[in-house]
Amino acid sequence: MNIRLRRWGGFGVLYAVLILFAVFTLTPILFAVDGSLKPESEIFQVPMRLLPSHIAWQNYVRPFEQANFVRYFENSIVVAVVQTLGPLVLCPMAGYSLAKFSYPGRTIIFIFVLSTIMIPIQVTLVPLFLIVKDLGWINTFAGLIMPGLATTFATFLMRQFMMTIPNDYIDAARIDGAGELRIYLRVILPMCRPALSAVAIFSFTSSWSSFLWPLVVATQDSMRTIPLGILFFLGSEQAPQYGQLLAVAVVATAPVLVLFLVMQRQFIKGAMMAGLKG
Amino acid sequence: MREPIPASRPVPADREDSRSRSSLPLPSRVMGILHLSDSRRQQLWGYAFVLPVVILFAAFRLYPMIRAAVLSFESYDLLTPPRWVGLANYQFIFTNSQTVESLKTSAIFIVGQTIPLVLVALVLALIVFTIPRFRHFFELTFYFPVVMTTVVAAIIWLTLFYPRGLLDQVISPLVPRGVPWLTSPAFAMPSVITVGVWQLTGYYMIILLAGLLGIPAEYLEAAAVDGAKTWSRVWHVILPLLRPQFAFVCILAIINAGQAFDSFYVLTNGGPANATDIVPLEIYFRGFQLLQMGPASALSMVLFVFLMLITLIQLKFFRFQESVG
Repeated sequence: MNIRLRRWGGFGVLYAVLILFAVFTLTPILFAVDGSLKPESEIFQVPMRLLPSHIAWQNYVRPFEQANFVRYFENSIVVAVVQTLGPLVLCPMAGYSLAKFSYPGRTIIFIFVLSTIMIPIQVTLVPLFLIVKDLGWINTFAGLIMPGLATTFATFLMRQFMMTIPNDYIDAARIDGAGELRIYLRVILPMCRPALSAVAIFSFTSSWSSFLWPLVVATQDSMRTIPLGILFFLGSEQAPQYGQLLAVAVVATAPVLVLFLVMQRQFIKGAMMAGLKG
Repeated sequence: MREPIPASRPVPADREDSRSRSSLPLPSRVMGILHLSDSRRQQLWGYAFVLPVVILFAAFRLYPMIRAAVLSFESYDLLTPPRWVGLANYQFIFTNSQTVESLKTSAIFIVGQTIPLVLVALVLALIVFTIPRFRHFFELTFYFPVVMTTVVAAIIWLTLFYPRGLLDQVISPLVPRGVPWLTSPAFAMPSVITVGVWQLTGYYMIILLAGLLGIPAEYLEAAAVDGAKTWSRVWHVILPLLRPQFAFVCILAIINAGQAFDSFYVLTNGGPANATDIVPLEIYFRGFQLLQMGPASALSMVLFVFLMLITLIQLKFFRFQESVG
């Protein structure tokens, strides 16, 4: 590669910049893991001690015994699983329709789908709350889940991906007499694996992190998800127990970290796919 | 699910044969006839496939949007029935000092976060693109905060910002007394922006990196053959070719900054002295604490118009017509 400098020496500065930013990126995460294992008195000790004098495992036990964190995790898992399966089932269908079928109104439907990116939850917060309240869905899983069951991003990504599939596959299957549903399930979906895994990853992580809507719709402790639970935990203690807070933060990050490490290629590819639109 | 073949449809001479050759392109004459006779059935399938998403978007995006527009002309506190007040809510949000401040604060935040974010992302993307080894390690490291829950990341930073916490100890040789990171109006916004840059740089870097990797190698090689120096190559060849992705990243960063809520709610909740009271926080505060649904909705509409303008600019940039097809 001619673009690259040939001598290693020339890269010294570049690597230094990257390492500097990597340290900036990793320090808070390592601090959180380290702090979660420290007794409360050592977290803000001056000068900072690098490692705990003894490992304070109770930081990881207490929040689950004394606060409602088992319940918060259950709620988060239910919401995230349904909000992953929903887009995974519904958005490829819509994407397929918009990419491969022709019918009156298709362009208008596509513009409508696209235009929903301009309507984030921050804009519709108040009326959406009123609608969900009228439906009797406050403090229910339906209320937590339904508004996020399909996403613009997933629909658009699937549509763009399916545009690249040659029509010949579909036409050939139709000549063979395959039904439309069968063509979709057996021919189209198997070809969409990269896009589907991107949709799954993004749906899961964004559902796992979602905060503003649950903050509004889950007012009972028993319906709180993890982000709400952590914040409630921070506010509820007389003097916040930072060791326990960091332990919960580590546990809340663990599922995402595992998913990230197992599917690292798909994460990076998915982000690149998202960026390559347009 | 197989449909019976209508009698009027010409059946291919021998079906077994066509099945075995299904991957081959078929004569266009046959396909044309099949399309014609099946087109209506296929139209219905097209509608059926897209229907669930359209219903969900209509119910949970479009309808609330219309309700927000109506509510922005009403006075409503959940307890008494809504009352039409015309433009009073808009008059209110553009004269009330707190809401006017929140609009200004959001503008400051959007500019103040987007500029460092996209510049750092650009520099890192260029460097990661250039280095010969460990590219994947740095991609993963920089991207990980993106997938972290924002509330969790903010909680971690809250402990870093703690008086005499890690950050104060790191800078203690320079500032022995420590910095009021989140408790002084001057420092609060830069502190929240730092958290945003920490969390989001990786996302924009990956998008830019994808753009860099998409530049045809001939361009880069031609520049190298011409003997262009590294910097002039970056400036005159790479950056102009990267302009679409860079514009996209800028717009994405602006849209995301306009919607930011979580980290503000955790780190400052708008304080101190409303120094970090951005519009989404103010919408939440008006709507759900003061029960002023009207002014909250009027603010929502302002945010919506802003997001719409930015999105329209983006669509103009990225040739909407082509994408709609």
